[in-house]
Amino acid sequence: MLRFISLTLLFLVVVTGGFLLILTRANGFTDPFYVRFTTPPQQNMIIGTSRSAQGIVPSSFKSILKKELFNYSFTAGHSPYGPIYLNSIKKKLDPSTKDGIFILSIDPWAISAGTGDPNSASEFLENDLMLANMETVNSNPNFEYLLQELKGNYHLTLFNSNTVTFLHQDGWLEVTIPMDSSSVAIRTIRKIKNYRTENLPNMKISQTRIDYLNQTIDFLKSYGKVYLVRLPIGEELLEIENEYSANFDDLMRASIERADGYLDLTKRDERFLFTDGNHLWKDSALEVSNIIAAWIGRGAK
Amino acid sequence: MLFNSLDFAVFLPIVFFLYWLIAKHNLRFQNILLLGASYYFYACWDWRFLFLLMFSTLLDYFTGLKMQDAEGKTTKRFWFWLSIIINLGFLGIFKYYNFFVESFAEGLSKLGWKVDVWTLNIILPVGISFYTFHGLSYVIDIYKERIKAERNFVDYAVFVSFFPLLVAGPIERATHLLPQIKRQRSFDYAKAVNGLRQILWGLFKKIVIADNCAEFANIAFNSPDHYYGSTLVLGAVFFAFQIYGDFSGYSDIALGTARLFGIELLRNFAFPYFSRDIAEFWRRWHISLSSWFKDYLYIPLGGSKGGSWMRIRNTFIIFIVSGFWHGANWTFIVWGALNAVFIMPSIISNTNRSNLDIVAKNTALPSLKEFIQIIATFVLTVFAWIFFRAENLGHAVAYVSKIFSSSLFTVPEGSAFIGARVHPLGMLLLLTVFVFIEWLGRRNEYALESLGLSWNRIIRWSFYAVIALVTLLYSGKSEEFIYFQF
Repeated sequence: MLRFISLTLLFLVVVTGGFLLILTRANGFTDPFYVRFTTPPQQNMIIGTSRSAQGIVPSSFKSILKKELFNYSFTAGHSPYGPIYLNSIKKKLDPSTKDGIFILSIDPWAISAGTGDPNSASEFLENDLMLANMETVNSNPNFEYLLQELKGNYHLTLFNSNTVTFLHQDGWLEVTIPMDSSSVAIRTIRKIKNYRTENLPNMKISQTRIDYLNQTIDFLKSYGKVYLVRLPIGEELLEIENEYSANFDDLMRASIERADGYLDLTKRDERFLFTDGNHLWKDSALEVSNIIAAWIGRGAK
Repeated sequence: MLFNSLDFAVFLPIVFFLYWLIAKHNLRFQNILLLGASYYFYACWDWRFLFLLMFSTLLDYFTGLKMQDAEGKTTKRFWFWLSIIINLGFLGIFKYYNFFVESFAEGLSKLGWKVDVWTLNIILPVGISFYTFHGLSYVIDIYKERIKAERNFVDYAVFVSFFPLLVAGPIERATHLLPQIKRQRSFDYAKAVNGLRQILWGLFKKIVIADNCAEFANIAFNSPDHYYGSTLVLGAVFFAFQIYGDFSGYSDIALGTARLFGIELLRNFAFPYFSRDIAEFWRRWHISLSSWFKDYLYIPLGGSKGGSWMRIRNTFIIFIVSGFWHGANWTFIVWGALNAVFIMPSIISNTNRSNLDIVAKNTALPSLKEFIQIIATFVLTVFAWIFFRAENLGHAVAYVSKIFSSSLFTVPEGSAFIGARVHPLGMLLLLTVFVFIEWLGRRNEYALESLGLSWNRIIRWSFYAVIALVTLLYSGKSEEFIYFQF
């Protein structure tokens, strides 16, 4: 009996050790979130949804602002403004930060909720998603994330044929997909359809989320300067967005007043490229990031 | 509680230690522990149905005793039919009521009569088909005086509820399992190691083979209109491996777990996809159910006595009933009937018992003739599985029609399966390795039973560790087993 137990335990220890060792191979190709939870606490952050995750490139800021920014944006599902995201930002922030730079990407969807009562934080969909479950956000390797969030897909740490997304160490999500006009048109049509049939009828502006955006600004202001940015999107998506929230700037007035600057890039004349009308193509993301960096470098406002 | 869940990974060692370390010298305590653990295991699904299981156990226990003690044949017959009617009544209500009512209404509507039917929103208690069949075989065996009624309630309840077999078999017989429950059991190292090996192989089959094949099969079956016939053939083949990996994987885990407690369960699978004809396939697939129907339905109907027509009739009856046992859907009935049609040539020509041994028993490879026979049998089986997997007959017919279109001869669309978590080529590689290991181990009860036993220990352990690692790499989702719905 003793032999059986000891040999079984030995086998389990070897296999578990091997398994954990394989998990440590996880990298930016494994999934679009993992790397963000493996870096040390950060002093300068980009906050927002997938628009900023793909659309703001931290490396652009280094040459202009001489600061290393970290993109801590996720998706509209995971990281709209609210208690879960604010709590996670608090964990990711280096408490010794003094002159930090924080870029908060804002748009109507990031302050909306698709639940019955849009102002009930207990009903927010992100309560059951990844950020809510993540206690540890600054550990490399981050076994908490790997074991919880890669369930059923641990093999991706070993065999990953994903060539579409790569999450950089600075948190930027680089997306490489075909950009010929027909591919872009197909994706854009799908995205527009999705926003028209899913978001437009089901989402409502949430005052609770706006309050949490303000709390996020107030919290980060004690560690540095906070800038609000509305990233550019395709014309059709902007039409839907304006239809949904024509008075967006009015809704954001209190937040804009709290912040150290607000840059609305939807009103500029430059022609940017989008992968699906909603997300900036990586070349345009670099351009936009340079514009934001130069704006901050000039003193913003 | 699923065998492939973290809960079970905690539950099993706890019960194992209590069983061998605390209750090791006390058979009564061991059996009470097994019963308690089994009821807890079942209650984890839905504690309300535990009462149904207990009622079914009590019913068969008491009717068994009443039949045993009955002085006249009439009394004995009364208790026998009482048990049969109540057992089948519960099965009928929970599993078949809506099917019969809806089919009746549909039949009437085709004749021009519209009727409003009263259907019930019934949840199917997990394992009801399995434990009902346990009880039925026990009651029938007592009635036929093959066995004596069990007087110890705990022992009988463990026979019905023993957790490894409770929810998806194998369907045990009192003659096989009860004596083991009543016998003093002592820890046997070799048996326990064998059990762990079988559990490991079962988990690999379920998590790596079945769950990954399921993704490919689901893509094909969810929208057959979108794909070439050749792609749908691949989808059906993936389903064939899914259901084999799923169900035989479950059986391996059940048998391996039982072995850890010193109990041998009936073998349920014997490498069915290496069969050379359909008759052999059915001697190797879900053996405990096939033999149950043979003993309790086919033989009482007259079996193969009484000429060819009798054999044909009885064969059709058991295959259709067997299909119906799987679920209240015409697809299962057609699946059963198709298998009856496929087996018919060997029944009529009396060659249904010509392949009793495993193929290539004394050689490394099959002969060309055997290979062709294996492929032909597999093709027939896959064809029948389409009906088993389809949502309804219309879906099955659409799927088959699309297969037999001109697109059958087009190269399958690999891109159709790109969304699955494993690359299609990776899946084919996994299946090749799997079939190779199964082939190497085909002479044993399960593939890993003695494979590698003659190797150097480090190599053998490394081999097991690789299997365990690959299983872990695909683990975490805890997908349900297909046969739980039956």
